[in-house]
Amino acid sequence: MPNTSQFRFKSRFPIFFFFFLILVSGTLLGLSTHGFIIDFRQLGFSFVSTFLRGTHGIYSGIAGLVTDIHQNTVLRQEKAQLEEQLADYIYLQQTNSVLRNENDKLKTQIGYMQSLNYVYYPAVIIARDMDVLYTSFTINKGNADGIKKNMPVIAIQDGREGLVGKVIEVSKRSSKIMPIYDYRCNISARIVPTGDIGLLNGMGAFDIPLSLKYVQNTVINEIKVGDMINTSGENENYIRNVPVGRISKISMLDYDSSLSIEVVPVVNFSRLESVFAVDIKESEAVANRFFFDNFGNDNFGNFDAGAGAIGNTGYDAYTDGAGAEAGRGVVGGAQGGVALPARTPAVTPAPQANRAGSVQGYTAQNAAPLQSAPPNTETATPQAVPPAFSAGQGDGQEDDH
Amino acid sequence: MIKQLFASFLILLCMLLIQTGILSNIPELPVMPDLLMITVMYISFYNGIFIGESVGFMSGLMVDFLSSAAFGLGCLSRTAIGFLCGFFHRTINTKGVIMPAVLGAAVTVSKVLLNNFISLFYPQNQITAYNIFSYSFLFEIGINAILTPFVFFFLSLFNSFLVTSNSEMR
Repeated sequence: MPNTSQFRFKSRFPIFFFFFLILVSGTLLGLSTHGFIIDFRQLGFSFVSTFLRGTHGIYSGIAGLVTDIHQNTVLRQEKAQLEEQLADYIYLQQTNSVLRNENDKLKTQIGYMQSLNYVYYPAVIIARDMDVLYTSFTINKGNADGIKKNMPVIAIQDGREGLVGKVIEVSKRSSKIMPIYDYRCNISARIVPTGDIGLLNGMGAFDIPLSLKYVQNTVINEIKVGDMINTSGENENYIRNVPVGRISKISMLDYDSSLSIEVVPVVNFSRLESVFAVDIKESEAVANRFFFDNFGNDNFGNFDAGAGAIGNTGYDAYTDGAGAEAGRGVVGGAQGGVALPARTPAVTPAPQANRAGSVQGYTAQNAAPLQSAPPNTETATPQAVPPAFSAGQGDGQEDDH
Repeated sequence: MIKQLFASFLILLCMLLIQTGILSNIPELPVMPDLLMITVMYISFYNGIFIGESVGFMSGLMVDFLSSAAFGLGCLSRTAIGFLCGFFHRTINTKGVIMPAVLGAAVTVSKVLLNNFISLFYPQNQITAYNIFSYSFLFEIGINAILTPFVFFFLSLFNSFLVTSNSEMR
């Protein structure tokens, strides 16, 4: 008998092992998706609520019949009131849009140029996702090169920049990027001519246009096919005013107060080979610092954090010998050290730099300030930054596309 | 059996590098052929359930490490594929061109159905289900069907490392 049971176990071992592997895989998948295979509470709730719905349906059917006549009169009055409120709401929204545009222009005039301070890390795409349903890229730079999770990634094609996506996973020497056309990618985007903001979603393939949602249908006469869509910068994952795409189709849905807008990406993903990951944390600190120093108002952020970031930036760049590398162009230069010199504009931006041009222009223009500026100058004297920063006021171009 | 598992691991690693490092960078390809899946098929058909599911699990792990899909999805679907193919160990003729092509197409369809089945049990926003009426699905079936005979022929060169003399674990 023992021999028989031993034989049975041996002959069925692959089946047991299969269930073991399935259990392991299922658990891994459950942990990574933060979801269990079956939610018993939900299952029970669904079961009970079926009966509840039936009971409620009968009750509400009888009660509704009685109250319908009365409600009809009330609803007429409410409808009239709501129409008035809707008119007010549309008026407020238009005013809001105008104020937003005005605010942007004013910010530009007073030198609120975050774009001057971004740090660009060039990288090459070495692989694409092997699963048809998923669309990530792998680049040849990781945290050892300065790449961090959630950094936005841009590309420059034919002299124009465009948003590629963001970093979703970082290892020591490589990183994974989620492109803007991924299903899970959501970007707060702005229609450039009108300033209206919507949510841009990927559709899972680079040859399918992106979908811009939540733009009110009241602006249908103001926007047109070919209008540029930029990032609005309202969620912190993406920097402001990076071109994302152009409107390719506008349609109005009868059942929705929002427009359905299709957007073709600026970046040609089928030709994409090299990209730039962009660091935004340090630049925000500089912007906050600039406002604090110039307006005496710390509502824009924490002053200390700003000062620390600037100091560290300058110090890192100085001690890493970035000055020696600074003469290299980012695009054409060697890839190893090019990220470091680009940090220097966070402290001393070039007056005529704009973002599109800055990728090539930063390092050469700012080699001298980096080499001459001692590290403790930036950390110790808060006043050292605003004059250098203000050198760029009014000269930078937000968008030259 | 250890030798077969180790050799399978090396072959899978090579296939993974070819698939992600070379084939994924060819923009002309509408979809990427699933060389890892074809390799798992071959090893499972020749070695039975135990090695099949083990190799399927290994290949799934490799896919999960590189893909942006939820971790464990590759393991789950490819273990099942390894098991399924191992179940037909020595009952299906894998020689020639037609049969491997048909098997390649059939296993691709199975993979897609499995993926869609698994997606029912996990949060919808984490696991994407295939659209079985899409061109990319058709292309994937086609490209896997075309490549399967070639990959089978290539792998048959390593039979002394990959195939057990007798299926002791079946």
